[in-house]
Amino acid sequence: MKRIVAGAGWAYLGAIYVFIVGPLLFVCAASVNGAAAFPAAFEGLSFRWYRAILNHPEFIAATWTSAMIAAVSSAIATAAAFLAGYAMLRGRKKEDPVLSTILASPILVPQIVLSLAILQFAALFGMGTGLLGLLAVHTVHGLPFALRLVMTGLARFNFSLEDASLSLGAGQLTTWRQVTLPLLRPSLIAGFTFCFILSFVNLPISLFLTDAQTTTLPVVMFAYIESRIDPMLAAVATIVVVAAAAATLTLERYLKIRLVE
Amino acid sequence: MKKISRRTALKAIGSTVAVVGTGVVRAGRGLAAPAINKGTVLTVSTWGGEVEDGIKKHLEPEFTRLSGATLAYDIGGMGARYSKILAQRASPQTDVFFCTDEAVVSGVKAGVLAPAARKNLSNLSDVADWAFTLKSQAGDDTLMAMPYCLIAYGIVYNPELVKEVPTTWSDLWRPEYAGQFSFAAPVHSMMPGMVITVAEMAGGSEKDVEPGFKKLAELRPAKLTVAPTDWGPLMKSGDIRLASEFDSYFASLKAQGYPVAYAFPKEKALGTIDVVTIVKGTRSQELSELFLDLVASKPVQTGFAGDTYIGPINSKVELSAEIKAKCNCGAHVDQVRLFDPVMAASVRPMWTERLNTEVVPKWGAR
Amino acid sequence: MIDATVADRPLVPPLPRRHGGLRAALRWRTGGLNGLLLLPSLLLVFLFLGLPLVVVVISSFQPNVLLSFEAPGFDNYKYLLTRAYYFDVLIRTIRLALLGTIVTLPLGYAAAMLLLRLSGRLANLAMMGLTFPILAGPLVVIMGWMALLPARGPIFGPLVALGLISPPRILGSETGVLISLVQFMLPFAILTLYTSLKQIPRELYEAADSLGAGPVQSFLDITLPLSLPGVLSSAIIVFSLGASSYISPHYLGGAADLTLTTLIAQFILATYNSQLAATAAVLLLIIMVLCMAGLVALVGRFIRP
Repeated sequence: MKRIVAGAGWAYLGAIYVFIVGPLLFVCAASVNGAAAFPAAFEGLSFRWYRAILNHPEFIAATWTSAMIAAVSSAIATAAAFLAGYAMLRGRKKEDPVLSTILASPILVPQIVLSLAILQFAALFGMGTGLLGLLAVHTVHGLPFALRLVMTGLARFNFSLEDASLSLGAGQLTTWRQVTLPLLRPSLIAGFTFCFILSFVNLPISLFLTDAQTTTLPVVMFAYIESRIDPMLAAVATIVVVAAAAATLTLERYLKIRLVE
Repeated sequence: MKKISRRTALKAIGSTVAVVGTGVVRAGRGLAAPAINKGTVLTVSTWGGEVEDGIKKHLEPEFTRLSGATLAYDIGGMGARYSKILAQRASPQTDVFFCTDEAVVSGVKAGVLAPAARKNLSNLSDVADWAFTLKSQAGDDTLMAMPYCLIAYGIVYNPELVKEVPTTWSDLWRPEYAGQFSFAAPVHSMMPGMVITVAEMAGGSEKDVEPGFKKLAELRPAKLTVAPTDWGPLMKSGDIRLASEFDSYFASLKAQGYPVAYAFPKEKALGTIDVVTIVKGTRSQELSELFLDLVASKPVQTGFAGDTYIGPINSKVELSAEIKAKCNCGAHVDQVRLFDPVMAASVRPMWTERLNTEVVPKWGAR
Repeated sequence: MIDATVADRPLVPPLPRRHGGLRAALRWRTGGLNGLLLLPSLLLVFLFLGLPLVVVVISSFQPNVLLSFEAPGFDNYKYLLTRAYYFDVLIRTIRLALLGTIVTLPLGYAAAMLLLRLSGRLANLAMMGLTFPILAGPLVVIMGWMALLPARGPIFGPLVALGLISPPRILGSETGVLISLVQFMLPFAILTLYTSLKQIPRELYEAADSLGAGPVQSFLDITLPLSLPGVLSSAIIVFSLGASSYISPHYLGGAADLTLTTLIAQFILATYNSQLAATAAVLLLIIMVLCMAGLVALVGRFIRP
């Protein structure tokens, strides 16, 4: 009886995983199918759709733009989050609920509304779409996530170490550089990485804000899907997944930083 | 908040180059000199897929050879691209804009488009007369938009599942197809033409469209679409048997192995002239005009017709029998009905709203 | 990922009943260094969220192509709320988000409990697997669903061909949207619930065991009550993902199944009516905040301090 229950449990878990990962695996598999269409019956292993990406410089350019926007916005968000988290937890057991609600508020705003808001706001200053708006929206969108991850680190951080450093005559900045930041490095890196990934794959927050010079990968993919669905998108997607997975694995393996606890 | 963004800097550089370039052009042979425009990038706002590929293949090399400038692309549905141009009014990022003739009417009204000088468009005389649907927008010396192609919105069907070739739009109302075809969404660019066509089928007219709305409400589409990818997978799986779609998209789906065929309804397919127009505040009027001129040129039009199956608007284009067969409207201009873009632009907001609130709720479409 | 941390510190901390409010918080905080350190993030939120939202609210009171009235006026709201079509959009948005949450939470809870039994490498791998769809982004996953869900596609096709089922209408229906929403939400829910469940001290179970409590009773007395904060966090996350999701309803819902997000996109990208877009955005925001407050009140009541 117990065995049957356990077996049913694992079967359930397996089914859940198939459900969660299945569509993605299907797409990844299609990327190495030589067929001309998506979806199509398997016509033999081929990397033609990976080569096809090379004929679309806008995908490659958008990848760099996305990476740049993700890097800058995540860096700003993580830095701001560190400062805020530090201020809220230094010398206190608990964060202030009103302040942290305010700082978490971007998460309560639907992403497409964020995009619309920045679009209309920028228009007030006669600014069109483009880099600044994208950076703004990606930063503010990442802030709550960075804050949560940084706060976990700060909650475990022993602030008396700082006092020790200060009492030994080190200045506040030296203390930060030599004591606080090194000890918080894992959660800072985790915060940055998570923001980076969230920013890199996000479509709705960029939807109204891109232009020809500055367009993000998801927006390019979105526009591409409008005219045709072919396995090339699957190839792009597979590269993104593999890169992201490699990044998380590297963090885990060499920096001993776990995004997933 | 005065900051010098990358954009403004680029724009400044761009316009400086353009000014210098213009001087040289005036002095030279009428075409911008390659060395001067080197490094200038003209931004083309266009549809992705076939159209983008066609420009890259047939137009860009010649454009770069003649001018030295290169092209950048802003890809997307027309609505998305047009709303960007509206948003960037203060600091335009786009130079030339591919759109429907109707969008030009809205764009002129919104003040975001600039006319081209006829004297700089050497291929203009080759463009077929029927392609100029924007007559009221043109001046004696200027042109608001260069016609680029004719495409026809007709009936696509799966020949394996539809034995009787559709002959009329009325076929979509046949009970056996209820819930088995996809149809244009209210925001589709062809919707004003569709409302008028259906109104006439139901005894109304362009002035009296009530019967059209009434008859449209009786339709039972399975899916509403704006792009071919909305219904492609459903046609492939056999979930739907018919779809209303442009012939050029039909041709590209067929090339990808979809089980599709195309039919002209006897009421005529709904035609639209796609055009390319210059965005006000372009980095270089000269280069933009060169681009427009090249779009209408015989080699580019021939290449486009061969690869993307769009109907060429250059009357000098000669197509092989094989391409003619695929390229529906180029060979079948008389089976396509064109609508007045000024009319379409003026009725669109109200009609879209009526379709949304009065017609779509009755469809139960998915 | 986020949720690892969310569980022990809810992403949106529930407000205590009596609190001096923002002014007290700032007075309490703005002494010297701390106030300065808070400045960058508060400024970010103020400049790139607060002010822009004010602009959106203002624009929602302005006349437009469809409606002419003397600004400022509530006519846009009246219009969207009194037309059956738009009201349906509103209801559909809430319905999808709620249904998604209701389906996802128990599925995710059960999965998280099972995952707790894994250990070492396998557990690591299992956790990573959950993050793949998040890393890939919803756009890619939707492509998969578009290919998998047609009535005669790879999943249902064989069953239909064998005559076991009649062709289901899933792609382009609310069911299709719901399926992909649940799939999209599940990893977030599982990760949050997993961390929350993991923090329950093992000794409690041992104690319960030695007192003769069966598995059902120890679940009801220990697991469920102690995991409620995690349930609340994940409910909040999952609901907000559902209400603000754009890609699922856009691709799988079809034009007759608009939600507020796709409606906003349609106003901006197709009919160029930024005032009605702003109105729909404000409505969506209000719905989100109300539903979250409701959730916090509902679940929060069962959380022991």
